[in-house]
Amino acid sequence: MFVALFLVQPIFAQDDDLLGDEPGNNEPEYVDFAFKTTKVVNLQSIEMLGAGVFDFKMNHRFGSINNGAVNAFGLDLATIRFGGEYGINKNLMAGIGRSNLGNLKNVDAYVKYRILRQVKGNKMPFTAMLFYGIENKIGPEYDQLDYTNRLTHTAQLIIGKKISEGFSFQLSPSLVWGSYFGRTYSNIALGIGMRQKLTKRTTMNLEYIPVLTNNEYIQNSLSVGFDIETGGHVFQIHFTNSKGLNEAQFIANTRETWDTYGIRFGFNLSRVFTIVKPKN
Amino acid sequence: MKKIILALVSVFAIAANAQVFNTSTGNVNFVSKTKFEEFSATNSQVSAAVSVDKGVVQFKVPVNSFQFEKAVMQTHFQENYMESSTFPTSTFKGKIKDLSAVKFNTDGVYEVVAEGAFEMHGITKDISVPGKITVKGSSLKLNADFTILCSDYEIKIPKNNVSSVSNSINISVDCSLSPKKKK
Repeated sequence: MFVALFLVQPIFAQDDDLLGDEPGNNEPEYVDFAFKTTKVVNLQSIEMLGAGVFDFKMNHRFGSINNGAVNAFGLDLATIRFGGEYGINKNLMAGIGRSNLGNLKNVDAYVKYRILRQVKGNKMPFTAMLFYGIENKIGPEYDQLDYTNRLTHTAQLIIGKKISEGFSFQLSPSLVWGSYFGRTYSNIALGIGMRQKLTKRTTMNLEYIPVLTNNEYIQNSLSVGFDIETGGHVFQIHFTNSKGLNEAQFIANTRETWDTYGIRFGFNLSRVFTIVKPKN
Repeated sequence: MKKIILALVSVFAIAANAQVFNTSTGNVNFVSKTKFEEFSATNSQVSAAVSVDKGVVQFKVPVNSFQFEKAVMQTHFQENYMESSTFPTSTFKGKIKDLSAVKFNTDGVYEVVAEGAFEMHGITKDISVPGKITVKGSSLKLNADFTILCSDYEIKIPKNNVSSVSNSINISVDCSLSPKKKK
């Protein structure tokens, strides 16, 4: 009798764990927050905006350091982009902005669509996105050009992975094409972006965009920066040799180099606003 | 003889096993309130179970399922405060202290206290939570309101967020349970 009770004991002990065989939450465990914001430095990152969220973006690049003391090492000169982007749903976002580049004025718009999302435990090992951006030059010197000669297109595949809690890596093979005074052009580049968390709310970012097609004028964009997150803001500060602020410009129209001190200080300011509240 | 007793006791054990109420769509919400800011989040994917014979109460809360009014709050909650990629669930496992007072076969509202281990953000603490069990027909309802301190669970609130995020968080539990289906 005692033996029998003793034998039964383990059954009760097992019974104590009532949730052991419960099927939990059915949603796959997505790996999120690979980057603090939707940009690495200039490149689009593998982050999406939440559905119904508007992100106001102000991007600022000073002049390059080699402008010398008379121009306060570039601080007197600036390119600026004002823009915003909006999360249409959890996998689709769109943005629009206006920037200057000397006398050249640009209006740009883009969409970014997530096709794959990284899931914990390598069930889906990486995140993949498609990006398409278009730039329209609107400065006075372009007034004589018809519409097709003012547009530059950028298509990008963005593949990235949050490798550990602190380190994320992404590749952005890019194609930039358009026509100018009746001549068509296209350039292929491979964007490389990564970030390492320094603390919970700060990261160090590195970005390099080698242009693979032969073009003697285009220099490879190289940027080093830091993300600082404070409440609803993300503040990105960096050094870069790129002056332009949309894909057509910083991928295929970077003219200065680091070894000639063609680098500039810059920052991106991101402020999110919830426009449509998520339904519970 | 021994075999018969063993068989009888086993049958009893299986019968006892049947007296479990559970759900996987329970609700837990919390409120953070400071002088300057108040916000809340709700989670309706909470697993909960109660065993009638021993009064075991168990909860499993998937941290990423908390929904906030603003997406950015959810991001900060998951990444900066709860670190949910490392600690994806919070659990409570305890016992009803005054089990004999609860008549699971009689409709009514019973005031009880559950005592047990609460694990959150990788830290486990023994807590005692007063609550209510409502028996109605063949279903059970569990309700509880209690307060926890972020600092007890090593959830750090940065200095410049102290005015908007409270260290003391009010949690309320509202779960409707039904008899567990046999396999």
